[in-house]
Amino acid sequence: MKNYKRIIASSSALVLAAASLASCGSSATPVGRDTKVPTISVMTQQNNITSADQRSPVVQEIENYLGKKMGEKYNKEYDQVKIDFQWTPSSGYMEKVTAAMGANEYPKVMLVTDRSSSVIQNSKVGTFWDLTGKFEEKDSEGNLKYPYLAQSNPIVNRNISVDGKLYGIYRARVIGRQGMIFRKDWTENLYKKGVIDFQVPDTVEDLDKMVRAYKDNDPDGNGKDDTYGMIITSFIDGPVGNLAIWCGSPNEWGYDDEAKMWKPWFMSEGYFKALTLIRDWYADGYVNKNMVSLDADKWDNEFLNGYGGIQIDVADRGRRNAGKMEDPDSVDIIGYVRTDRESDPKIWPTTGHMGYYVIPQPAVPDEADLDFILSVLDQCNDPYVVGLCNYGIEGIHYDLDANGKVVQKKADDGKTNYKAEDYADLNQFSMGVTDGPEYLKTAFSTKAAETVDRVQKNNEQYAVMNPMAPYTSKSFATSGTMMNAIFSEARTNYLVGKIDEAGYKQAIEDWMKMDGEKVMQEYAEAYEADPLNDLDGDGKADIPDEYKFKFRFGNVKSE
Amino acid sequence: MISIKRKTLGDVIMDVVVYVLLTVLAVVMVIPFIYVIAASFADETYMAKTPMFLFPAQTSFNAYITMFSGKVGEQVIRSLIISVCITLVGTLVNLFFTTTMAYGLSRSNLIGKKAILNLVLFTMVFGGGMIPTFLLVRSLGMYNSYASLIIPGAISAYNMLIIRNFFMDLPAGLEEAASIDGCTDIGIFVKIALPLSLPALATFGLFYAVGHWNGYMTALLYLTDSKKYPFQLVLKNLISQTGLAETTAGDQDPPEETLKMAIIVVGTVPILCVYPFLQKHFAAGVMVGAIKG
Amino acid sequence: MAKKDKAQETSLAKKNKWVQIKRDKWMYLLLLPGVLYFIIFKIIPLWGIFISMKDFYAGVPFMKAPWVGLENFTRFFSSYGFVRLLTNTLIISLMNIILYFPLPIILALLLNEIRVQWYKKVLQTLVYVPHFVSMVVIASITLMLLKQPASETSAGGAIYEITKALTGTGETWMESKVAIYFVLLVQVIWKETGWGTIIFLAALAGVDVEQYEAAIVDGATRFQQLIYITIPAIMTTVVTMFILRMGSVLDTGFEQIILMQNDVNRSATETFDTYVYNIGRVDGNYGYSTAVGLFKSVVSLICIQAANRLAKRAGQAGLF
Repeated sequence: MKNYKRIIASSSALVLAAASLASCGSSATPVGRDTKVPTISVMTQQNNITSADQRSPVVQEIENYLGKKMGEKYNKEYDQVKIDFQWTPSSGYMEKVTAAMGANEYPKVMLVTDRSSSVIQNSKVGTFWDLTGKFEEKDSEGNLKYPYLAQSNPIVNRNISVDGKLYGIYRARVIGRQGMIFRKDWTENLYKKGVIDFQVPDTVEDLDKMVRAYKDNDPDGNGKDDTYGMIITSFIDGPVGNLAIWCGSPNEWGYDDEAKMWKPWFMSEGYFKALTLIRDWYADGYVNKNMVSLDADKWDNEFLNGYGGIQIDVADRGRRNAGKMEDPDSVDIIGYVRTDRESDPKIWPTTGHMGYYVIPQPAVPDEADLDFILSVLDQCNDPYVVGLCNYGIEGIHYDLDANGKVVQKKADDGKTNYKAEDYADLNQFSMGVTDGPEYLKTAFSTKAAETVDRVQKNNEQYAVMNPMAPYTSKSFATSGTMMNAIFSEARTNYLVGKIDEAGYKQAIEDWMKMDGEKVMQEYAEAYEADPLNDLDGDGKADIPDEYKFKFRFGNVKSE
Repeated sequence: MISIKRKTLGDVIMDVVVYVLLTVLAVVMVIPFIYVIAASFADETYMAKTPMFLFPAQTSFNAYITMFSGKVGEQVIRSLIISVCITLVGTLVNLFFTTTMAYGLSRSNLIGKKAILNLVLFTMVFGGGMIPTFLLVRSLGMYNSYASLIIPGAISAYNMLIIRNFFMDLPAGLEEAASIDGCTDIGIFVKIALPLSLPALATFGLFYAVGHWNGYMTALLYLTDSKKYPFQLVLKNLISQTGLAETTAGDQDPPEETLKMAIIVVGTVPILCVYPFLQKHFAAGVMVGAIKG
Repeated sequence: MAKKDKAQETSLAKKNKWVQIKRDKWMYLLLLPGVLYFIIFKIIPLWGIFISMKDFYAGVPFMKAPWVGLENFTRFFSSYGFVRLLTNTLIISLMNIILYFPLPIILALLLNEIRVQWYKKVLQTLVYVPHFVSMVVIASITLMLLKQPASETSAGGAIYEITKALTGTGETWMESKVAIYFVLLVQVIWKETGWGTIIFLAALAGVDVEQYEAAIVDGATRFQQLIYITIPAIMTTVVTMFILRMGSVLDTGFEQIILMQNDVNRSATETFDTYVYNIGRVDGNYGYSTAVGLFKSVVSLICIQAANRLAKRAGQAGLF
């Protein structure tokens, strides 16, 4: 009998324990503003095998610096402000974010790379701190509380907003980041031979000539047919997107003035023209045959080995590739080619961000802690910290030469205690809302880097904006991945020549049937509903001409 | 007996066909292993140029040296230790839960047995799904803890039913004798049933152990702290880590092909080592129970 | 008379019920952990039925999520994706049942014909081994074998090179809609065929030796013995395994597919399991994803019942 009691007692204790655990959510530990070492946990992306940790001198330096700055701001003695990095592999990153939300176990600061359904919904119900207007707040003396965050770009802030409210601090990406990288020496050789009549391609037609000449006319002059035009990887979206814009496509969404409706870009003339170009190149061997399956991380191998001559991707790829070439001058970078000789330049802008940091209320319930965290994140945009995150420490990871140019140290020269892993992935943490220190940013000793900078700055003015960037669609959230997959499969089939235009058209009709029409409608409604789109003040949303494009597909039959 | 009998021509042909076929099959099964092991010892540049080989002309231990040194080595060794611990503890927990329940259900005239059995059968085919389980595990405070890899999968209903059949086949006389000697049911379970079913324990222990060692999805779901990652997760990350042009400086080349191979070898060999020790038990007719089930 | 006996028995049983329970108290104690486990981890999650009726997302408090009734279900059934998922799932599953399921049986029968015991052991060991390899590793090896070369001068994966040599063109295994199905199938065949023999070998071990002796006396050849004795003897096992397999016709090696899935082949490889994963675990749409999961569970339940009925009608024992 005694035993029964014991069993009942112990089992009921177990049930109670389970129940009590179930009832309590995540216990938020305070930041510790009153201790010597306040700690802020940050969940962010890891791209390298090994990321910087607390042992890294760079991280230590950042933490010391933050401690000093916060001490000044809050009149306290801080040894450090510890950044407790929760490095999370970038493949499958959003799954971990969703798990953290589902488990209600948040870090103090969490990077969100995708505006998934749950991120949107959590923004709406107030899981994340609403930061609208926060960055402009001033203290009692009239100084900006967060001077760096206040400089954040309003366009980008709008792109990451939910229902017109701001919930995060974005990781800045250059808006005009994309470009084209090609072999300058090859083009020059071809120019000298008289195969092409330009040294830098100006229009899509020039580009077409160049791609073909890179294979047909032995641009490297080794007498062998071992070169080809463009390198495309399984990350087909990049080259296609850029080329599409250059050919006159809208960015993601455009307004078809004839059909009076919003349509996705792949229904446009320009997009289809770009696809057809690549299709022709691929058919004739001007693009690598393994285009569909080549890993994006192998993109550079072909270029560096001297087989393929053109890459369309972020322009900074050109800087790195130039650095790895025997002759850095053999690489040239341009921002765009024009549709034809009459048209204005157009470029495919990035959204201006690579995800954004949210501050979850469950982990930071206290408004004073929020203020402290914002101050720390603000200071992380201090040029000095940005410099540390991106280049490491002067004297250890790089030197400045007499002209004030950066000379990055090589890991294997044996003379320094350089370790790439000291600051590996810290650039993933860095927000870069403001520019890094000017002397570092322009200090790269290579010509290519300067070209990249110039190209990217110049690009910005030609950006074709995505009108739907701030909006979401419920149907797209549940069917989007499938729809995208089915569509991109059709697109791939078109590129490799398995289907023709009729097949592509069919794929678009399929896309519309499988919730595509609903998606188009939901986006159109979201655009309609946003008061910011009412340009002339008549209470109705207006559509400026810059959003109007020529479309080829997707007309709903009127019957 | 059969060997004494003279074989007909048809029998001989059949023998030849069977032996040749099976030998070829077995070789096909094993070739990928040989390839991976060979590639892990191959020289990186040699591997990049040669599509297939079963013995590398240029060998190198670089992959293994890289794997166990520096920060990569730190991750690999830590995750190996974690995986070994999870496998050991997890398997013990599995066996405890599975055998106690199986034995409890093996008593033929136990009141309520039928209800419990139906419950088990029902849950085998009908479940709440991934999300409710996740929310439950979280509510139990197991998120980001190793318990989440062990407790929610403590019993495989299928394994439990087979072990139950095994217990049911134990000679009833032994138990009766023991109970006359004053042994309680628990005593009989520990002193008689368990020792007699060691082959079954070994077999199902191995099943569970393989599951823990190879576990990937659960760990991916429940563990947030990358320092807690078991080996399969680290393996996947090392193999698939690709930075898509996001790093501006300090680029690190992704792991070389031979390193990937070496990691695969290290991830597979430990569990293969356990298997020969337990293999003889499979033949011991453990699975007979399954057929009756 | 029998009736009287029975009545007596039941009354006696009723009286004895408590006595019996008391007697078996230790057995109940042994059962306790397992029963608790099943209640906590298998029964409690059934409240997911409620989740499926809410517009509920990861991280949003359950109470704040609005009830939407059956909207998640109707939205799912009316979406074009549903047909696609069903087709993909059935293709993968039926390919598995038709092309993989017989293999372990055949292999077991072949192994059974091996009379040299040590060689049989060696073969068994070799074919069992792939079962112990994790799916992560298998996926990695597969990708490496199918890998296309980075350039014309470097080498691709072994299988890529072989198909290239045979057909002249390098097929893209991972991107082709048809080929990916076979890639998935071959992975299963490689990993599980050997292991799958265990249960059939055990059944074969149970065949009465006297039957063979009698057959030999009657002058039956080995092949005749196989057809008339061995195969009928394992028929029950085969049918039982078949029922189990049919019951899980909508299960499609979830981990395997997730690891092999890429953006290009997704429209062919997205099945109910992976969809539940992608919508639930990645996008965080808990309500919708649970609805899809529940739908799958219900269909599975029906399938296994139906298969069991069929088996019984065919004169086999059935499962339950």
